Amino acid sequence: MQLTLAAKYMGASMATLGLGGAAMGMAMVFVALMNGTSRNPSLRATLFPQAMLGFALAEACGLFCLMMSFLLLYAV
Amino acid sequence: MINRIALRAVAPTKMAVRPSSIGLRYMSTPVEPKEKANTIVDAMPGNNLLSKTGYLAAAAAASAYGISNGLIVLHDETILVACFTAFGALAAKFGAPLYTSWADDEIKKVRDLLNGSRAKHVNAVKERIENVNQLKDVVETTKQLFAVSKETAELEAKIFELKQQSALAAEAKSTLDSWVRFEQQQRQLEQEQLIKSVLSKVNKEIENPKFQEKVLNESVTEIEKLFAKA
Amino acid sequence: MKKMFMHSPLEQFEMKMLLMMNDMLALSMTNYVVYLGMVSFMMYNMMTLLNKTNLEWNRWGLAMLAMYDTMLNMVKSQMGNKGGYYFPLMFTLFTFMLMANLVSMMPYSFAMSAQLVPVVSLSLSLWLGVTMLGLAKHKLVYFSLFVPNGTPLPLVPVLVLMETLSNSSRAMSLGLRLSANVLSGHLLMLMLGSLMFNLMNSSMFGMFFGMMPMLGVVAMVMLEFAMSMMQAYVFCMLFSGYMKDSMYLH
Repeated sequence: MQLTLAAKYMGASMATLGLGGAAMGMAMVFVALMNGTSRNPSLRATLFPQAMLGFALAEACGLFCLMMSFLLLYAV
Repeated sequence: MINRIALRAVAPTKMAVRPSSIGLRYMSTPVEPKEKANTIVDAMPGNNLLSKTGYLAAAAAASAYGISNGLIVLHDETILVACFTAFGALAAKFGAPLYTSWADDEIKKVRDLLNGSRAKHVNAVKERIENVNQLKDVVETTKQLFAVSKETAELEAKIFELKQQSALAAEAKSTLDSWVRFEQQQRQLEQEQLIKSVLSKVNKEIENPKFQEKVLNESVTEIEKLFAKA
Repeated sequence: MKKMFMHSPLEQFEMKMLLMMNDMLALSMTNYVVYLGMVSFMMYNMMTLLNKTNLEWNRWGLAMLAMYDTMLNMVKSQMGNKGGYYFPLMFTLFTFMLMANLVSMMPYSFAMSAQLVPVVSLSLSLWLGVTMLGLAKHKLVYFSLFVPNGTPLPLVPVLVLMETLSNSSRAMSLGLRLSANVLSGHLLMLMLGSLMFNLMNSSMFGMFFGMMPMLGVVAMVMLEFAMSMMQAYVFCMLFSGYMKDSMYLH
């Protein structure tokens, strides 16, 4: 029993590792936004919603990991 | 429990030690403590001090009763209620004025646009009316113009007629001229022929020996006559 | 003192039977149905208000018009002028999800969009409808969608396989994205809440210094509000992108 519990916690903690990828993705989105804005500041109004969209998509992918770990913790 | 006691022991000294000049709010405008207290008291519901204390006491008693009887449960969601309230307060304090100014600007923009276009339309209609007013004697002008154009047409017809006449006259004149020239040539030719015939006759006469003798005789007689006279 | 403990943070997503019709959940009144009714009622009221708005009505009307304008711009930029046919569907979807997400942000309420089954079935039926639209519009030419332009011939079978997989996984991922976001957001908030509660309940010291991490939780709540609005927008945006694919084929 204790062993399965330990395995569950380990699985949950391993599932959160994927969040690193989401973090990198988000960082890249904002880096690209800054690059674009500094090259052509007049494009900011069109770039910003797209950056927000990219941020949302990247964060959603990260949240899949978080959800997996929550599910492993509480639902399994 | 130990923590609480320790905190209670520490609290007064902490209050006393805090330096007055470089505290967290030393830059803020100082408010009279009495006024501050009054504002807090005024913010509570009720008319006089007694009812205010009554409300406070009632609220405290109600919450104590609720908690002790399990009507109000303090658990994890309570924190979320507090956070939600804080978020609502923040939104009302910082978000709402921004939204209000934006919305007012937008509404003002639209209203200005509509009013501007209405004024423009009114102006356009007025201009149109003025333009039409200028054209109100258009019938008479047209009549005059029609008369003028009629006259012009008549004159043009007359001019055409006269032109035709003059053209006819010129043609007749040129025909007559050619005739005159032809007659002159004819006369010239006749005269030349006459002269030629006369000359030829004369020459023939001269060649005749009888005539020559006769003329000679005549001239001799004449000369003799002259000599005889002399 | 009596205390109610939450055994697990997932308990907030449980469907509770309110009015039973039969032994199964079918046709019976659950809290999901109650929230569905609430959101539908709000949408109906919003529609009646939206029909009354004009450009210089008031500030609330302006917010609704801004929503309408945003969605219209999004649909038109994705699908061109022909997309106007599908604008009512898109606006209804957006309003439904926005209201469901925002209602679930209130404390003590039930997170409708965190229910995986209804949301994924919604996205599945939407995807099915989009596929049927493409098939009805282009007949068998629709399957040219699975072959990207300018593919070398040896790669075609592999690419068709991959494109088919990615196209059919849209059905799941569309709903799963929204649902997982709301689910994990609510879980996170509740776990942070229980953490804070335990900290503040531990001692006077904890009560006093727990106020500072509270700010973090407030920031989290703000982020969740932003995410709940953005996910509704992203759902509609991706869905209109899929619809553009089956309307115009590439």
